Amino acid sequence: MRLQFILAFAIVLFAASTALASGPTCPSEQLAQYNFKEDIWDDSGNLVEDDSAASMDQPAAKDLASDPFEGWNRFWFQFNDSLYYGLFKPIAKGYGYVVPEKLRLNFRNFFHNLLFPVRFVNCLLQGKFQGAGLNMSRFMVNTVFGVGGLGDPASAHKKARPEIADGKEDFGQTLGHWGIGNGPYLVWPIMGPSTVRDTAGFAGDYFVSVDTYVLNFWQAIGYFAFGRVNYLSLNLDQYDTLKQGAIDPYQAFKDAYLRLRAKQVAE
Amino acid sequence: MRKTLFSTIVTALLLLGFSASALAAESPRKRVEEGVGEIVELLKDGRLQDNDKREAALEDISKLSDKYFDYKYLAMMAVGRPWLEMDDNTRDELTKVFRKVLELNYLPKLEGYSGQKINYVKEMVRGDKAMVITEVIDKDKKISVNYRLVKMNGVWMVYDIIAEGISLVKNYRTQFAEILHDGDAQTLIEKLRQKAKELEAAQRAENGN
Repeated sequence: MRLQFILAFAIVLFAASTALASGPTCPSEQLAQYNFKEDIWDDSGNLVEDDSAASMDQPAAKDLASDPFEGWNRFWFQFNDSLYYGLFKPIAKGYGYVVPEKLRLNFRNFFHNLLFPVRFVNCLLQGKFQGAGLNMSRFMVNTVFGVGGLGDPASAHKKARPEIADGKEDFGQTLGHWGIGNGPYLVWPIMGPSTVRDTAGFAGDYFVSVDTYVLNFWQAIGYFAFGRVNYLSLNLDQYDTLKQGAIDPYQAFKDAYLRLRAKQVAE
Repeated sequence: MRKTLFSTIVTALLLLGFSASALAAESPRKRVEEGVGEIVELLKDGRLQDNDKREAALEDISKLSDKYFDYKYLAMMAVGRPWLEMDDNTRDELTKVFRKVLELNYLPKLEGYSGQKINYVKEMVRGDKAMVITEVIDKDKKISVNYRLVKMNGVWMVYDIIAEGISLVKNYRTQFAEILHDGDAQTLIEKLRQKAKELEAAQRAENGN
């Protein structure tokens, strides 16, 4: 009985091993015939409608940005990179070491909550009325029951909340939503990657931000810097991972920025 | 005796056919789930956090990834059309060094995994291509992570990971395109080799501390 069992086991093992060994190999003819058509689905999983026109060398035009200011952009990219490693990262690390994570998450919620008017206005401008309503109720609940937005009781009550992304909404996205293209890619000192469209959007959001009206210039800089350091302390690895793995970091970040924005606009 | 031996062989053959077809019929989603599960299992032993056992742990993950990742297909998609003009040696060399860069950069990052929940949202299949949509729940954030798969000899293999809309393959494609435009495949291989060396040196320095 035992012998039979061992025999059966051995045969199954043998079968499995050959199946596995032949599995991952890559038939070269399958590669050689490849015609490099664009994928069936885009990166968010939506069907690409017109798959005859799109090829891998020409990605969808709306996601692209020209780069006529590459010299300027590369200079400021380098500058920001040095600033990140020389200043922001060490500060964020030290800050993260001293301040407990729970408190840093509270601060993040606080900043997020304060940006409510920007999200609300841009939801309305994009015709996302449900999103605007949800942002509104979330803002109320978190401000009243979350001690001025430090806590996030609204998302703790998952049952009451329909599944909708509480994502970023800004005026750059609103412009993109109505079909305005990126325009040239632009890197700004300290602020980082942007495009002409998103820069205009940033200026637009300035007028609906709370801090514009209650803080003076130096307070606004402090507010911005603190928000940035707090954010970095919670996401320290992100920048490094993309930077270190890239053979051309400038191109890698440009691609990442444009694709992230394309995804946010599409949502 | 003879009868029982015969039935054993029949059962074994049945099982054999069964296991082979089960392997082939596994859905893309199942494959991703299984691969992620196996890697998570490997991470549980804590060797990655242990400086002495770190290298062995990374090697195990690398070996495991062969079962689920098609690195050659990944390299081909990252290179794009110029791939067609490369000979087999160049392709293999490029795949090898590109894989090394990816492993050196991304595998150590798995250390940060601490039991985050993964939701499998949906899978889509058309012909020999598939996509699996997932969400990683990290604290109170949802991170979208999508996988692209291709059917190779009846088995679904992952060739692209899209995190928050940023595709690994496409991110490298934009970098490769410029290098291949100004130089040739050898320039690209040399650049990747340099990158691998740089990453290795950085990791050695980090482990030494």
